[in-house]
Amino acid sequence: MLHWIWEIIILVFLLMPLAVTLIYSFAGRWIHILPEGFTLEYYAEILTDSKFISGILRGLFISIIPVALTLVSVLTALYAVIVYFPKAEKLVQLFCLLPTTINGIILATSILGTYSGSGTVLSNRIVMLVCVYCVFIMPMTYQSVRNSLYAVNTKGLLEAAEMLGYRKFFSYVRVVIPSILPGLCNAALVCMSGLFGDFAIIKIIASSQFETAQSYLYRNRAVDAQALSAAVVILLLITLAINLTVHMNQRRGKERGKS
Amino acid sequence: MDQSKRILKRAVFFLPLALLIALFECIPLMGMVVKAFLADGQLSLGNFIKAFQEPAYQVAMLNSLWITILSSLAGLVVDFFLAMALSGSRGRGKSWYLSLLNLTSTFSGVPLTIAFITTLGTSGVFVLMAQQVGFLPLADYNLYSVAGMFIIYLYFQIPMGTLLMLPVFEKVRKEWREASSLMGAGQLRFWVRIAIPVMMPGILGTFNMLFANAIAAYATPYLLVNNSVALLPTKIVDMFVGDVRQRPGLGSALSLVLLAFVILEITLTNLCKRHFEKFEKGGR
Repeated sequence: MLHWIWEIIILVFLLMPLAVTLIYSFAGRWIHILPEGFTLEYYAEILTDSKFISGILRGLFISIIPVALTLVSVLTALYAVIVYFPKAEKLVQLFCLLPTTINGIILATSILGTYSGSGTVLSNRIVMLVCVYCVFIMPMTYQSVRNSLYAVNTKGLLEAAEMLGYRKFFSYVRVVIPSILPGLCNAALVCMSGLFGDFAIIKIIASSQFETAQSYLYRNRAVDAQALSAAVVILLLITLAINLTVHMNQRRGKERGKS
Repeated sequence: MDQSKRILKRAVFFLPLALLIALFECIPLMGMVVKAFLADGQLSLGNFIKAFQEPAYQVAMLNSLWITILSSLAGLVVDFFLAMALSGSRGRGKSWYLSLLNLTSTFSGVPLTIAFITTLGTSGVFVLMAQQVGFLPLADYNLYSVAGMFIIYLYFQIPMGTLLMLPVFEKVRKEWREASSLMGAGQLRFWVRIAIPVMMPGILGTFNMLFANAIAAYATPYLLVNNSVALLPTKIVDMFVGDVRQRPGLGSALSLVLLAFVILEITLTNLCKRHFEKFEKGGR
């Protein structure tokens, strides 16, 4: 009984801001107990705002590139660890998990302090942003890539392929990676949705040059609360879509595992 | 000769990751440490002395520590009981609840803060409603203060912590509960003496995540209390990109202080964890 009550209290608390934002974005006016009327006006307003739309596209673009870069570099490094240098595992793990302790803010400010005004390609804010993001998602990427690689017994697979006359790296790319692809896609999507929701790092590195949907929300925070609520709902729907994809992938993977 | 060439050729696979780590993890961090310990081109503790002596930074550190520790502890309690309730329930209701936790775990930063401004801000829906019906505690709710902001911190501590806590409850076996009740131990005694000690490593791990999550929170305080309440993350960022004079040396020192808080907290919980792990082994 107590369990039920607790579940419901927290449920209400968790749903409260979501529900209010959702209703507010559809409400004509809401200054009394109940909102007056129903309108799609704010959705029309926000969806025709080219700044918001391009912010979303920028946000997606700037999250996809780091995810791909980190995934490739972790995959190649772990290939070398598994096949040639098993002793390097601890070192790779240490450096890949280090960013969990150093949070995004310290990471971003230290990188900004080091490379801004250095005159190299790294002082370009977009390049810098991509690189900070790469390091930021490294722990997550490392853990899921490593788990997937060990789950399929990569070493054994590669040795078997070698006996059949294939080169190891070739079979890594053609056999191992495709077999762990669903897991990799999920890790990539989770990292992507994390980066898509980032505000702190982008604010530090490239607040004025590169406006994502998050920075758009921040800049317009005082303008029109109802259109802003509609924007929040749209961003949540995008994250929800990414999450659902992950969820469906996982379920499909489980079913395949059963059959 | 051939051997070393081959090793070199194999090490090429490390190149992309090594570049990323060297350029964007090691060099910036070392740079930060150097900057923190340099003042006017000389090795000194000046930046740290300033950080600990100037009231503005002292307040920022204390505020950050307080809101982090309190929200992590409160979050831990809420998460513990929610995970306990969920681990006892089954079926469709549970899977819906888990989906909701998954969704809300991504609901953070600017969108979450804006949702709370819409709900509890100065002209927030609930505040206006409360004013109409004359419900004073809510009508005067001040979201733009440390105490008011606390509710948002608590909110983002719930989904992730509960999801981390759920597998910890699976460690507590049914047979143990039966055995302890056969021996005459009550519910409370079972939890305090058996279940919680066994779960302690997992609980402490969750606390670590909550702490790290809260101490680095930036968007929420930046949107709500940027000018009125000082917090470490906002102060650090101001030192590097602020409108006022930029002071990377002091900023680096403050970053190291923030890092030291996190490392100190991890060390303390690890010491605790070791104690309970020993307990677990000794009990077997």
